[in-house]
Amino acid sequence: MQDSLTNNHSRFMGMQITPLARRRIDSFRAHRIGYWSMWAFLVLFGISLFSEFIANDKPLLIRYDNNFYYPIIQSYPETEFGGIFEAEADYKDPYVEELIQQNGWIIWTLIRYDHQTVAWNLPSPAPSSPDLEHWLGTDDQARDVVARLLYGFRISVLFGFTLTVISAIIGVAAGAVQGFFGGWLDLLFQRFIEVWSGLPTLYLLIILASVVEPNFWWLLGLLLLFSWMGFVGVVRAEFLRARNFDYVRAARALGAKNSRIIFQHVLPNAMVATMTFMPFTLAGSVTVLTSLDFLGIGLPPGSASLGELLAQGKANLQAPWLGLTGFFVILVMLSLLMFIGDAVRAAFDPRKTEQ
Amino acid sequence: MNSKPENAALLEVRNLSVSFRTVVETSDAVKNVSFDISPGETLAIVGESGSGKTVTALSIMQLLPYPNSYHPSGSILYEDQELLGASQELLQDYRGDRIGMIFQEPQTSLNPLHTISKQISETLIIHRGMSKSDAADRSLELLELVRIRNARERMNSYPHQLSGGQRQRVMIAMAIANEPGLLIADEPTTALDVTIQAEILSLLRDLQQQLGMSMLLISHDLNIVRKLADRICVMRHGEFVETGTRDRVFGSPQHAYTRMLLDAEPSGRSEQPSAAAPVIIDSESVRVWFPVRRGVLRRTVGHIKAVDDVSVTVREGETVGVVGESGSGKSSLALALLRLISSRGSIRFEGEEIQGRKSKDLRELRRGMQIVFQDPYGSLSPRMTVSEIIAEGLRVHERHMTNSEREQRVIEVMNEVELDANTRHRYPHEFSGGQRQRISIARAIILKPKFIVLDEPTSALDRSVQSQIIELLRRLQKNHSLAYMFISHDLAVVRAMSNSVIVLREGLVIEQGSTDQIYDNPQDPYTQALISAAVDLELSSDQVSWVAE
Repeated sequence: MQDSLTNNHSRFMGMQITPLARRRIDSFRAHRIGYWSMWAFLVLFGISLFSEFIANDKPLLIRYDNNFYYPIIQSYPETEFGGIFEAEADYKDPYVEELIQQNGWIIWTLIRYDHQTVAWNLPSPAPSSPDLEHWLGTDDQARDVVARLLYGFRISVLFGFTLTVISAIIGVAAGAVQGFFGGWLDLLFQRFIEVWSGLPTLYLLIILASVVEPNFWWLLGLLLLFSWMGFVGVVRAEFLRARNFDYVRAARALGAKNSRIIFQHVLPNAMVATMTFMPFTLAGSVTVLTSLDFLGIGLPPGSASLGELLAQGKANLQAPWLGLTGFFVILVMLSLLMFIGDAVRAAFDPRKTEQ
Repeated sequence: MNSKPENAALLEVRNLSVSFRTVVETSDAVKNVSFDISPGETLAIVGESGSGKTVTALSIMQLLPYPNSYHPSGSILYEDQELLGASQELLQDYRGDRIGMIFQEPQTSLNPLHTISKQISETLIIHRGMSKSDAADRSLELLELVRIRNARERMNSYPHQLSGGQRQRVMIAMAIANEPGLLIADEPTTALDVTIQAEILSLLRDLQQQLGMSMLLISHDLNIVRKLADRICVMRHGEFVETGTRDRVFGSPQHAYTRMLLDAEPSGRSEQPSAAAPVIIDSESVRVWFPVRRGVLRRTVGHIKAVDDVSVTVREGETVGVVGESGSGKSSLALALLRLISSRGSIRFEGEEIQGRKSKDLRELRRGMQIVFQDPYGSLSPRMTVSEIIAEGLRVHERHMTNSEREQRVIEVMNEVELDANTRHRYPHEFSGGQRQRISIARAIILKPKFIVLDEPTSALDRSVQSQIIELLRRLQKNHSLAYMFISHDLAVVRAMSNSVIVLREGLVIEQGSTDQIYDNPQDPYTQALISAAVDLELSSDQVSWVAE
């Protein structure tokens, strides 16, 4: 008997899921563009997470004197390979390379530059056009564009994810409290949000940039102050609606506490709206960071970023590979996110998957 | 009128099938259905929910969501014109002009942004090419024809200013504006109160005779069908199981399903509890008043009195029925007794005053009083398994219980409400309406309460399921000496369940007494009107004035 019971459960990635979730996953899969966009995005993001092992000015592996060396993970002084300086070995230096080659061998990364490496041996003055050494050319400070793209893509997506997840948590909590308890609390909070959302974010960022040197966390914090409000409206509305559902009433009649009603009965419904929103918020967060970098009030100078690449393209119109690369990468990334968002929305559409 | 020759039929439907296509599957809603309607005749299609009767009606107008739905076979001839697959232009010509239709839900069938005279005029201007002023004159005539009082003043009202019954009259006026040959009435009175239902039905019958229309009546209610139809088709699972004249179908039903439908009328009586039975719940002048606030300072200028000075006593093993039309305060009373909405007046549960108790102190008492709601879809969380839903009360009140003990209790309760305990790990959407209502009942009784409020527990169910649920409730009451408060607008069900009855109207108790006394010898004219409308579907002329719209 026990067997026939467990058969009714669906599993997804080893977890037990409700039939509702099963239908949603199926419906997401049925949305072909969105489904493949998700895989494409995950692969790209997965690759970019390992940027250090793909684009680096240090070799992946060195064999020297019958010993293995891992320069990316650990730093070694030049003297280790029979050099003169006590400082970390500069593997791009032909002298160092020769020293190692005499007594062993080197495996290089795919791209022998990281996002800050300056290429000295360019055939033409920077920015140089694409060639075999630099697949997408170099920027105006002679840095490899492919390397900068990889690192820039990674930081954009990570920034977007962090911002989206934290704002969702704050926004859902705020919306839940307002919608569930209603009354004066709701009224005051709503007025506060109206005033708060009227503050000009851009000017605050410019002021911030003149006071401190903005970095990843400063930007995240400041944008977070405003981005959580996007979630409040939908969640609050869902809570206001669900308060009067019969099954919430029934739970109340059973004597369930507010906390149980919120987490067990109402929140799962409100999460649908939040999940639908999320891919679009993610795309929005990425765009915000890109535009701040473009304006020069984003990440600190020298960091790889898509916005900075666009700004360079604008400053160097004679080097169209800069602007075009930036444009196409952003185009592809945002399109993938939009397609994913579309598929998520279809999957959560109650007309398709409920009942 | 009943036996016209075949070739004189106004509408001929032959081998009509309808299928729906979804991403995952194709389902057949209607299978090879054939029928005729002669001029002036009323044909009724009766069936329970999901039998395909509305889909059949909508295919005549070709109003189904094409191309997700399609017709594998069939032909629909209206005055020898094929409508199935006809061009949009031709269909638009027929819709609203030669075939009129009225829907169940008068709330959503009218555009809230236009006055009713504008909405009636629209169809006249489109199909008759009338000028605006002519159309306005004609719509006044029509409003008078559908017996809207003070039609001239009402002309420029917006739908929200009208009552449900008036809106349905406006819908009828729109449907008959062009004097169609055929009127399709899809559950025309289901959303209305009984007294208004009686009036709308007599209006439809009079209009049909006056205008010589044919009528296709779609209904689940055999009483209405008996009142109006000449011939009846009984539909089940997309097929006609029986077709015949009214007298034949009601007099000597051939098919077992028809007989089952006819026998499903609620019957029997509840057992009388002993007079010495302890009082479970006792309330004195309960009031639920919602303040009406105006102005900048939000001063209270008046109150909407949802429940006004109602006193109820329910004893162990007793059922108190509460009847009334929509908006009469039935549900508010119930929610107030359970302290789910705030109220005034004294409420004692087993002698203990519960009014004014903090919700924390109330929680322990909640295990003794439970509620079952009307909507079997809305009252169960779609994200929890049946076993989780039923066990929720145990999780709240019996925290020390182990999982296996809880499981054991769930199985016991499911057996008690005649659900297969093996299905306990499934989700609510896999169950039918009647089964879901059993789940709600199981959730209510697992804590072994003393008092259960049944808020229209059978109103959303088909008749045949209704009687089973009533049987179940009676059995549970007997086994556990439960005290019930049974709320319903359906007087037949209340009669079958209750020992005593309270008649509510606009928050006030109109009449209160034993069931037999109320039903056999009602004192108040409103109660009299209510009962005659429910039992005979008819109101006498002086009662009509009672149903002030």
